[in-house]
Amino acid sequence: MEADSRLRAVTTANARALVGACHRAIEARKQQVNDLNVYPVPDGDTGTNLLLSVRAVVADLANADDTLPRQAVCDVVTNAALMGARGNSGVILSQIVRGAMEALAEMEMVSAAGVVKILRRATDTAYRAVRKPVEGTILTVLREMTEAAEAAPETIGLPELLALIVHTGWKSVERTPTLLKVLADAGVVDAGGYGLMVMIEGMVGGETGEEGAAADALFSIPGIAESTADEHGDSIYTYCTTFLLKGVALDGPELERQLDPLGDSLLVVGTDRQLKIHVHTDEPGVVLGLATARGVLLQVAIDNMKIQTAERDARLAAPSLRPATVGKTQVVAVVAGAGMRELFQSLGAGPFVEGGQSMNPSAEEIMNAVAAAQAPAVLILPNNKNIVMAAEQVASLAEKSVAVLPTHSMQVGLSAMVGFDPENSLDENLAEMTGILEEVLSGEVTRAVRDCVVDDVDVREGAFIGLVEGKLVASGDDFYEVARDVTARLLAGDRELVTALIGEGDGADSARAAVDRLREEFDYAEFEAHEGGQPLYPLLLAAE
Amino acid sequence: MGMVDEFRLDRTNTAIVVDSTADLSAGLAADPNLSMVPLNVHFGETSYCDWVDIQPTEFYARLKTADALPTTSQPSPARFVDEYKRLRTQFERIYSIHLSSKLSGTFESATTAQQEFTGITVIDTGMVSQSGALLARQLLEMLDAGTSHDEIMSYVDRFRKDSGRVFILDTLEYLQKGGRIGKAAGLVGSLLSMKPLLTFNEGIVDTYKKVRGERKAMAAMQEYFLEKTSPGARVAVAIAHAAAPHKVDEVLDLLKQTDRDVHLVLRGEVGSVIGTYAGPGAVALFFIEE
Repeated sequence: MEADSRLRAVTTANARALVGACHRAIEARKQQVNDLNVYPVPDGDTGTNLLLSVRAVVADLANADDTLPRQAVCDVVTNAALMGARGNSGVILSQIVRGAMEALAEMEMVSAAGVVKILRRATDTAYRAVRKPVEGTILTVLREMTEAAEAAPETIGLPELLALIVHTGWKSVERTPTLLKVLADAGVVDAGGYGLMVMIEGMVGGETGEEGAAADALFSIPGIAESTADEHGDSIYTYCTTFLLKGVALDGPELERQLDPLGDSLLVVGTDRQLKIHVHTDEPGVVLGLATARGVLLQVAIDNMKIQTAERDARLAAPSLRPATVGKTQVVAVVAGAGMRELFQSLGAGPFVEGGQSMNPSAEEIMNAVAAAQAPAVLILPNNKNIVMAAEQVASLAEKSVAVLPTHSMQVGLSAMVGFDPENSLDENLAEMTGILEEVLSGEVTRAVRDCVVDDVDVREGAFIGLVEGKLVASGDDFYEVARDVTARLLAGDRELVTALIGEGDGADSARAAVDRLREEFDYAEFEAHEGGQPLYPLLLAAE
Repeated sequence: MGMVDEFRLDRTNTAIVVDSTADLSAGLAADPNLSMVPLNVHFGETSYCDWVDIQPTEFYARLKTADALPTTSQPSPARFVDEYKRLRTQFERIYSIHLSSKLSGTFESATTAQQEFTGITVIDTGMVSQSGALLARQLLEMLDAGTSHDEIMSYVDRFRKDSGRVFILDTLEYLQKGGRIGKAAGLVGSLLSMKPLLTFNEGIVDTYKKVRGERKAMAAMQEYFLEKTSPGARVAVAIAHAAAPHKVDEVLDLLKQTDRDVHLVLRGEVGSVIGTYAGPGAVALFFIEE
């Protein structure tokens, strides 16, 4: 049996084969995992994060020596996973990998009993890494697989054990909505758990025959375009091209027909006002030309897939815009949008890591920015709840004194920056800025990416939705009314200063007009508006 | 001045000199034992004597429409020589109180002039505006009761060390353009509008607390007041404003909300010279426990 022989010895070549299979599997279903997001806010990026996290391991293994000893192979994989981790799911994955590699490094050959040990160590490491483990997530799926493997008879063969693990894992994914109400409300299974099973099944080799069936059965959200991505093998094309297309009355299927002959792994997903396009092609210019004729392009990314990922990541994380003076403490901030970066920079932050909602930076990108900081101590502002864990991972790995101020949004991060003083120590800054965090509430206005009921609010796809502290509080067709509801909640209590950050693109004019009206309506509060230029969110609000 | 240490000082033999940046309120300005030497403010080619040729109302109106920001200059030593000479014919002792020597050459001019006389002590408050008026008022009270040089100097030391001094500006622009931003320089590049609570530290402007929003700054001012005074203490308070009289009442209300025994002894306006750097909308609080 192929999986059997493939798993037997820990060599660079075997690791490449195994991780390569994992990478192909998650690449093929990346969009599905992304679409399993709970909230209708445009932040579905678990699949992307898992894919990019695995891709970092692929890249490091590609560069690794063929004759590495067992321990070194495990170290390469562990380190690549830790540094390549993106988003909370990527960080948890990296801890799973770390535990698995610790167990694997102690084995001459991998047997059924060895797989059980690997799973146990992976489970324990992952649970330890998460401060408050939540059941109904990737953790549950991993734990239930481990428990099933441990309960299997000692005489079980490796192929049978692997089949049992995969079967148990998918069953566990299926049960996640029964453990986590937000999943049940949204009618989805947990994206992280689903992604984990896609990867594990990819590695096991799909010999159980359940592969496509289990994944497709669980992927039951209506209205989502199925991936037509080539399930196996690397693309013959050079450029991975992705972008957002905004417009009116966009015809997705028609665009899909036009793009189809130009490449493979084609995905055209979204609404008649906004489409996300992904294609592997040798003619990105032609692809963009076809799209430009239909609307406005945003977030265009053209990656040369033949260039090592590591090189690309290093380039993306290149430090920029260093602060003028270097004191005792520097702030590394994760920001999206040119205006936002300037605002942070004007308060003394930098170096920066580009990223945020739906584009979580890897731990390595954050690490590079921390390394580029010249001060002896660094405070990281992740500015997104999905980046907090990666930032904490960097803090635990970094050689200099690094702390994380767990800012969940850019606007709250900005408020906290007011308390930053480069001449103060890390602890002093942390204390001062934490004090500000306790007083600030964040609000957001964006568009729903699909229909659903969340937090007891009825949401229609395309409607404006308002969030306070990440919780949905308002939905409707009128931008101002949604913004007003959010603002009213933000100003409840003693808050009196509202910072409004206008995003990029279509919604910006509505957001500007809304802020002018908010000033009149809530005339007892102070309003300060700036052009943040952030993607996806026309209006970000912070009240303190 | 050791030779006069035992000399009993009172209103018959002692006078106080301040410069115009003490921003004297009307009552104090009329005190017969107090005299004032003006600094100058220049709008382009036109010069005015602070508090003499130009009053705050006119100044802030002009500031709004001026093409370029005004500049300021210290009084010449000769101006102090004239004043000291006039006073010395009537008084044996003079205490000359001036704004921070790190912000203006006024203290320097006064010191130069003083060297031609005996019986004159030049004092650097290390602050600006009504801190000078408040100190002058306290010294005049001591003269009313009768005092000594040693008592005055130890009070001056206490005042320089322990008195409260904080202010809030509507904008840091004037402070920065006028080159007096001091240690608050780090706040200037900020694209967010800061309303820091500022203070004087070793004679220059320093940030006491970085905050945004007028109300937060006012709350920080109240906190500062509580930190610097003891529960139940009787506190002499001076509050000055730059074209924003309502802010004096707002500050006073905040102070009266505390359990301190607040005595508003001076209430005034920020004159043209300090106004050049503070800008309209500023409010300053000075106080000392009695």
